[in-house]
Amino acid sequence: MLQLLLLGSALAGLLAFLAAIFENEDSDAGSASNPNSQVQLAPQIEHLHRYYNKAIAGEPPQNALWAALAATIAYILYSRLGMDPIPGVILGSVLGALIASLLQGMYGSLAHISRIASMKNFKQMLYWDSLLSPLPLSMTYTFFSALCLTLLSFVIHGLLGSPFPVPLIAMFLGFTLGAIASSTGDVHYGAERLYQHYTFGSGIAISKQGDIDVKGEYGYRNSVDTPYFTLRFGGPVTGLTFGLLILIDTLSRTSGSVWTSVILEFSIIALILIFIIYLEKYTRDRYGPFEEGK
Amino acid sequence: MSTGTSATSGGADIPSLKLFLISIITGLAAIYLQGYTAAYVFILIPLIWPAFVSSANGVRSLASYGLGTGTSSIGYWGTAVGATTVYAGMQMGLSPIVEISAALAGGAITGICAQKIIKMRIPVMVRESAILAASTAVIIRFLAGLFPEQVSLLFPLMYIAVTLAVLHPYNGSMGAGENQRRTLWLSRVEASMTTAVFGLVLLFIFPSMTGAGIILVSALGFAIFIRGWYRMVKKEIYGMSWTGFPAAEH
Repeated sequence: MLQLLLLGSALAGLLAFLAAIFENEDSDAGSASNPNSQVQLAPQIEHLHRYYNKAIAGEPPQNALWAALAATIAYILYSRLGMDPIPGVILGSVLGALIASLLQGMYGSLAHISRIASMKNFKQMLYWDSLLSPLPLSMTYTFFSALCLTLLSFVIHGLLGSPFPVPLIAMFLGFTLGAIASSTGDVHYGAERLYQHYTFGSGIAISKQGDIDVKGEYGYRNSVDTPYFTLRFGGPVTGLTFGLLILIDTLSRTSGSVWTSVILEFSIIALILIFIIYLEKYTRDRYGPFEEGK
Repeated sequence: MSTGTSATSGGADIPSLKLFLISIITGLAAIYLQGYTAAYVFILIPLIWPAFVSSANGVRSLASYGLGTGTSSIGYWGTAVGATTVYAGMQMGLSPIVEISAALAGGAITGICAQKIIKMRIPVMVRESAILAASTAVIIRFLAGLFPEQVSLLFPLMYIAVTLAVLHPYNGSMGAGENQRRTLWLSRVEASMTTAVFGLVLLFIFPSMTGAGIILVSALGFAIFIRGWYRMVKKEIYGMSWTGFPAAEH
C-alpha cells in the first residue's frame, strides 16, 4: 500500500510539473497570459502588432475545459475498449487530448480574428501568418498539458484512491493549474532586455506598455518568440509551483491523515511569505526610494 | 467598452428579453420533444441554439459595463447557477419547467446580491443574470437529456463547455468595434461547436445514428454560421493580408 502511494505521488508530481510547464507555454504562445492585456492595449496606443491574440477566456476556465474534455473522452474510451488499464488509459488520454487541442485551435482562431476585427478604429490589420504560425505551437502545448492533466487525474483516481470521478478531478486540476499559471507564469513581463535600461523598481510607463508586443531583439516580435523566452524561467517556475503542490499533497497521504497535507502546505506558505516580506523590505531599503517610470 | 454603440455596423440592438423569450420557447419545445423523437433527437439540436445566443447576449449586456477580465467570471457564475439548479432538480426528479423557473429565480437572487451586497452598480444586473441562469439551465437540461446513462460523469464537461460557449462570444470579440450582431453570430458558431462536441461524446458512449446525426446537424449549422460571422468580420475589419508589417512603426 505504501509503495503504491509512493509510486502514485512520484508519478503525480512529475505529471503536474510537466502539465504546468506546457500550460504556461500555451498561454504565452497565445498571449493569454500577461501579454494579453498588452495585445489588447497596444493598438490603442498606436503599437500595431503581429501577435496571436488567443482570447478564449481566463486561463482557469479554458484549461478546465481542455482537461475535462480530454478526461471525459479518455474515461469513456477506456471503459468501452476493455483494454488493460495502462494501454487503455494512455490511448484514451491521447485521443482525448487531441480532440481538446483541436477545439482549442478553433476557439483560438475565432477569438483572434474577432478581436482584430474589433480593432478597426486603431487601424490594426489581420495578418494571417501571425495567426497560422503560432496556432500549431499553441495547440501542441494544449495537447501536452491536457494529456498530462488527464493522466494525472487517472493517477489521483486510481493509484491514490480519490473517490471523485476522473472528469471532475480533471476539471478542478484544470482550474487550479490555470489559476497558478496565470499568476506565477507571468514573471517574464518586464524582465526582458527591452526594459533593462530602466532604473530598478521604476515600473514601466503606460506609453511603453505595448512595446512587449511589437519590439523583439531583432525585428517585429511575434507569438513564437514569447514561449522561446518564457520556457527558460516562467514555465519551469509554474511547473515547480503546481508540481510541488501536487507532490506535497500526495506524499503527505502516506502519513494516513488528511490534515497532514493542509498543515504542511500552510507552513510552507507561511515560510515563503516571511521570506518574501523580508526580501521586499531588504530590496526597498537597499535600492529605494523608487523613481517614477519615464 | 461600447454598450450597443456599434461603430461599424448599423441597426439597433436586439432586446435581450426578446432573445430570451425565443430561447425559452424553442428550448422548452426541444426538452419536451426529446421524449418523442427517440433516436432522431438530433433534429431538435437547432432548437437549442437560441438559448446559447440568449446567454451570450446576457454576458454581453453585463460585461459591456466595463467588466473586462470579469467577463469570464460572469460566464462562470451564470452557468453555475443554471447548471447547479438543473443537476439538483434532476436528482430530485423535478420537471424541466420547475428547474428552469428555479434557475430564473436563482439568477435574480444572485443579481440582487451583486447589486445590494457587492454594490456592482450595473442597472441591468438582476434581469440579465436571471436570463443568463435560465438560458444556461435550458441548455444543460437539454444536453443532460441526450445521455440516458452515465450522465453524472458528464456533468463537469457540460458545465464547463457551456460556460465557455456562453462567455467566449463577447470575450473573443471585445474591443472598441465590438457590436451585438457580430458577437451573436460568433455565439451561433460556438453553439454549433459545443453541440458537436456532445455529439462526439455520445458517439463514443454508444456508436449510434443519434451521435452521428448530432455531429452532422451541428456541422451543417457551423457551416452556415461561420459564413455569416465571416461576412461580418470582412465588412468590419480594417484590413487583411497574408503577411506584412504594420505601416506605422516600420
